[in-house]
Amino acid sequence: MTQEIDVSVVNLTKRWGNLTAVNNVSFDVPKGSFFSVLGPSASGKTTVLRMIAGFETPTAGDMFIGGQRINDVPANKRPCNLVFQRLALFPMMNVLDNVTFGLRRRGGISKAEMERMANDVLARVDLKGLNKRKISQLSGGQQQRVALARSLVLDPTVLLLDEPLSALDLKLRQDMKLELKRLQARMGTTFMYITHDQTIALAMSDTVAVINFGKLEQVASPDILYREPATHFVASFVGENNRLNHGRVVKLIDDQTCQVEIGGLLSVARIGEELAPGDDIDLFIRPEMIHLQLGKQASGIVGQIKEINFDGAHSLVVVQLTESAIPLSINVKFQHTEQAPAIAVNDTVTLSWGRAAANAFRHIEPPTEGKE
Amino acid sequence: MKRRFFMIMMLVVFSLALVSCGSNEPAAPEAAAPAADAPAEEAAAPEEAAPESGGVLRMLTWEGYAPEELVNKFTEETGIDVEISYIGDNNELIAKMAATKGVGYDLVSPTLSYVATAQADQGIYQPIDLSKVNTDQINESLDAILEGSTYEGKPYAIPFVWGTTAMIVNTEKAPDAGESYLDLCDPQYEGRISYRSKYDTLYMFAYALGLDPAEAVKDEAAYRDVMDQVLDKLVECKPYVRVYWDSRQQIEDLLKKEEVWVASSWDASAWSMSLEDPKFKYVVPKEGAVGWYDTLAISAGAENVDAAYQWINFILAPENAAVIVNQTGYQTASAGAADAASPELAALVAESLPPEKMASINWYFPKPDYATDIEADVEEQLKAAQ
Amino acid sequence: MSAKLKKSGRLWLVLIPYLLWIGVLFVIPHIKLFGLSFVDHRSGELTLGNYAKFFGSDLYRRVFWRTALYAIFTTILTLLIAFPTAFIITKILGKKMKAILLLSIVLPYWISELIRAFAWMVLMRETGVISYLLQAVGITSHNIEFLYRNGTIVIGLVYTSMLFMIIPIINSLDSLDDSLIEAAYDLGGNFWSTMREVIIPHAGPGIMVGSTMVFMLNLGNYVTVTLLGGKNSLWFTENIYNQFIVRFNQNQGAAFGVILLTFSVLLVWITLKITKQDMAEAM
Ligand SMILES: Nc1ncnc2c1ncn2[C@@H]1O[C@H](COP(=O)(O)OP(=O)(O)O)[C@@H](O)[C@H]1O
Ligand SMILES: [Mg+2]
Repeated sequence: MTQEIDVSVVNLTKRWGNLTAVNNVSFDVPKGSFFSVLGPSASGKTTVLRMIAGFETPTAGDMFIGGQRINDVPANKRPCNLVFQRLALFPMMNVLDNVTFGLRRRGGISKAEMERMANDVLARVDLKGLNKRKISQLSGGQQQRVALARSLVLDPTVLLLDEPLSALDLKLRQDMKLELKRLQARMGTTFMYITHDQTIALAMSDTVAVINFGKLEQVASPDILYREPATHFVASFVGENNRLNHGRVVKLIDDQTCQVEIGGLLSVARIGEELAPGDDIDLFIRPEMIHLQLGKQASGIVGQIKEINFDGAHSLVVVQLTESAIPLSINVKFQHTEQAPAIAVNDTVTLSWGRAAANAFRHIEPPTEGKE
Repeated sequence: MKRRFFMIMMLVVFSLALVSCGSNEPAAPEAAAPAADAPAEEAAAPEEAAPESGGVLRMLTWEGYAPEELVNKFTEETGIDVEISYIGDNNELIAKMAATKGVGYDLVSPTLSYVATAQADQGIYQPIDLSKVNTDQINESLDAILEGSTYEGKPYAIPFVWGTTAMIVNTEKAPDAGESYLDLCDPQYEGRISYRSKYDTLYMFAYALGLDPAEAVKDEAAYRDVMDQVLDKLVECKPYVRVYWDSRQQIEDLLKKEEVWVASSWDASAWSMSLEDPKFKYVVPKEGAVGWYDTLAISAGAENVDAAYQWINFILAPENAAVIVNQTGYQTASAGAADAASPELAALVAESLPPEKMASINWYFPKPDYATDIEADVEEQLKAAQ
Repeated sequence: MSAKLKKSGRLWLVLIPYLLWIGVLFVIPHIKLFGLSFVDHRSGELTLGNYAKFFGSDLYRRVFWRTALYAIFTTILTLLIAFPTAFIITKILGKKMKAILLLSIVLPYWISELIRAFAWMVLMRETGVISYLLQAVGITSHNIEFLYRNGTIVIGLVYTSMLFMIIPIINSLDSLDDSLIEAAYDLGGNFWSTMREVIIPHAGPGIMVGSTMVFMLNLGNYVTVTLLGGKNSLWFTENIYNQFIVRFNQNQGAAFGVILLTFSVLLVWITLKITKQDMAEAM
C-alpha cells in the first residue's frame, strides 16, 4: 500500500552549543493521519515542531511538507500551522478577529467571506455565538477551541500541536482529547501532535514517534508500541511495566521468544532486541497481563500479597515473590470481575504470564535520582 | 452676660490681630525696637567691633561679592558665622525677599535702581541707621546713593560695588568696532555679535538711537514709545546676532573661542579677559557706558542687624574692598580700595574709563512697575521675532 | 494580605503619605494657581482679563502654538526612535546586551539636565566636537554651527526625554509573550502586520504613558530649550517664568499655567479617545 506523505523529516539535527536537542531524527507523517511525538520533557519534541513550523533553523537535515522542501521557506509561508503550548491567542482581539487573522493576511477574501469561513470553522469546534467575546472572557476549553479554529480556518496541510491540552485541568483534558480526535477524523487534516503524556498519545494517534534525548526510539502504531516496544526506553516509558533488573538469558526458544532467569525464577519473554544466551537483561512485565490465582499452584511463580490498592475496576496488587533468591516484588493489575477470587493482604498467590506480557532488553543502569 | 461676650470677642479679635501681624511682619517689632531704644549706645559700637557678639549673618548676594577669604577673616574678627545664598538677578532677589518679607536674610545686595521701588512695593528693607556706619571709608558716591535709595524720607542702601556695561571687542577680528553701540548691529559682523536680551541692552540701543530712557521712564506711554523704537531696531539687528548671552561664563567662552567678536560686556569681565589676552578690549562707545551700582541693604526681616552693620563696615574697609576689586575686577565704594588694586588692573580701568567717560556713564534709573512690564514685553517680542 | 488590607479599611492608612504628597504638592498649589488666575494683578479684583490677555495677544498665542507643536513633534519623534529601540532591547537582544543597552540609556540621566545641555553645547557649537570631526574627515572645510537652531532644540528634547518614553514601552513589551509574535508569523503575518495588529496594540498603554510623560516634559522644558535654542528659543514656559520672576505678575503667570495645563490634559484625553484606550487602562 502506498501512502501519501504529508510531512517528512530526514536526518534532522539541532544543536545549541554542546547540547544536541534533536539528534538525527527521521520520520514520515502519512496524509490525514494523527501523528504524535511522545517523549519525556526536554527530549526535544518542541524543537522538532518549531523547526517544522519555521521558528528554529535545523543544524542539519531536511524537512518536507507535501513533498516540497521547506528548509528555506520562511515561517509565514509554510503550509502548516502551529497551536502553541500556551495557545498564544491575541488578547487584544475578539474571537472573530483572532480566527480571521490568518485570512486577513492572505488578501483577496471579502470580509463577508472571511466571516463565513470563520463561523464555519467555529461551528466545527463547537464555538458558536461568541464572535465578539474577548479572549479573556473565555474559559480554558473555549480558548483551546479558538486556537484550533484560528489555525484550521487556514486549511493547513498539517496542523502542528504543541501539548495544547497541558494547560487544562484533568476532566477537561479527557473531554478535549476525545474531541480533538473526532475533529481530526472529521476534517481529515493531518495532525502532528506533541505530548509527554503517553495516555494521550496512545489514545489519539494513528502513529506515535517516541523520542528520548533528541533521538528517535520507535515510530509505530500505539498497539505495536505497547505490545512490541523496540527499545528499552520505549518499554519503560510507554504503558505501565514492572521492571526487573539483571536477569539472564537462559536460551532462545525461537526468533521472537527466549527463556530468562531472574533470582532463580524462570520466565518466557519476547526478545525486544537481539539477544544471546547469557546476556544480562532487564525484564519488563505488564501488570495488566499477569494472571493471579489464590494459593500455591502447580505452575507459576509463588508470592505473597503485600499491598492492595483499590481502584474501582481493578486493584493494584503488590506481590512479594517468595521463592526468589533475591528480593523481588511485582505489581499486578487485578481485575474485579464476578469470577475473580477474593484477595487479602498476606494471601499466598501464584502469578503466571505469557510471552506477550514480558519483554527482555539488554540491561541498562537505571538513572540515578533526578533528571540529568 | 452680654458684657462678657463682648470681652471675649475683643480678646479673640485682638489675638487674631497679633497673629496676623506676626505672620506678615514678624521681624518688625524686634528689628525696630533696639534701634529706637538705644541709638546712643549703639553709635559707639562700630569702633569697638564687639567680637563676642557671635551669631550668624545670612546674606543674599552676587557671586564674588563675599570672597571666602574675607568671610573667614570676618568670622575670625567678630565670631560671627556667615551663611551666603547667591542670586543671579535683581528680580530673583526681590522675589526671594518678598516671599518671606525678608525673613531668613539679614543683608542683601540689590542694585540701586531697584531699592526704592522694591521698598515701596514690597517693604522688604529697613532704613539705614547712618550712625552705625563708618562713613569715612566710603567714597564720594555715598550721598548720591543714599539719595537714590530714599523712600518716604529714609535711605535704604549703602553704596558697595559698581560697574559699567559697554562693549568688548576682539581687536584682531574687528579692529574698527566699538565706536558706537550700533556696531552691535553691523552686517559685516554677522553671526559674530552677541548681547543680552535684557534691559541693559535696551538702554544701550536707546542711547544709540538718541533716545533718553531715563527721562522717558517717568511716563508710561513715553517709555513704551522709546522701547518700541528700540525693539524695532533690535528686530532689525537680530539676523546678525549669534546668540543672546545669559551668563558671564557663556560670553567669555564665546569670545575666547572666537565664535563671537563683538559683544556687550560687563567691565570686570572684559578687564579680566584683557588681562589674559590683550587682543580683547573693553571699549566705551560714544553713547557712554551703562552703569549700575550695587548696594548693601538690610532686610526688614533681619534677625541679626548688628552683624549686618559689622559686615558693612568690614567689607568697605580699604584692605578688604581691595580683595574684591582684585578678585572680580569690580570697583567699590571704598574710598581707598582703588589704590590697593593691582597696577595692571588699575591701568586698564584708567584706559577704559578716563574722566570724560566716567562723566558720561548712563546710570541705571529707578523703574516704576510698568517699566519692568514694558521691558519684558520687548524681550519677549524680540525673542519671538523671526 | 492585600485583600485583608482592603477589607479592613486600613488601605487608606498606607496611602496617607502619597495622599499628603499629592495633596500638598499638587492639588493645593494648583487650586491656588487656578484661583490666582482670575484675579487682577493690580486691583485684586476678580477678572477674566488674564485670560483675555493671552487670547488677545498674537505673541503669546504664537509662542504657545509653537511650543505645543514642537512638543507634539518631538514626542512623535521620540516615539519613533524609542519604539524600535525598546523592541530590540526586549525582544531581540540577549540578556547581557539588553542590560548594557538599558544602562547606556539610563546612565545619562544620572547627570543633571543642565550639565547634559552644556555637554551638548560643547558637542554642537561652531568650534565643537562635531564640527571638528566633520572637518577632520574632510566633509567640510570650515566650522559649522549646530547650536541655536530649531533642529537643535528638537534633538536636545528628544534626547532629554528618551528615557521616559523607552521605559514604559519596554515595560509593556516585556509583558508581550514572544509566542504571540510567533503565532502572528505562523498565521501568515509579516513584520508590518504583526507590528500593527499585535505588537503595537499590546504596547499601546506603554506608548500612551510614555508619550504623555514626554509630551508634558517637553511642554514644560526650560533648561534645554533656552540653552540649545539660542535667540529663537522662545518657549511658553519662558513666558510663564517671565510673568512670575520678571514682571511679578503671578496672576498672569497663573493664567498661563492654567492654559498650558488645560491644553495638555485636553490633548492627552483626545489622544486616548482616538486610540480607544481609557485612562485607567493606560495608566
Ligand atoms: N533556544 C534554546 N536555546 C538553548 N537550548 C534550548 C533552546 N530551546 C530548547 N533548548 C533545550 O533543548 C532541549 C529540548 O527542548 P524542547 O524541545 O523544548 O523539549 P520538550 O519540548 O521535549 O520538552 C532542552 O534541553 C532545552 O533546554
Ligand atoms: Mg515542549
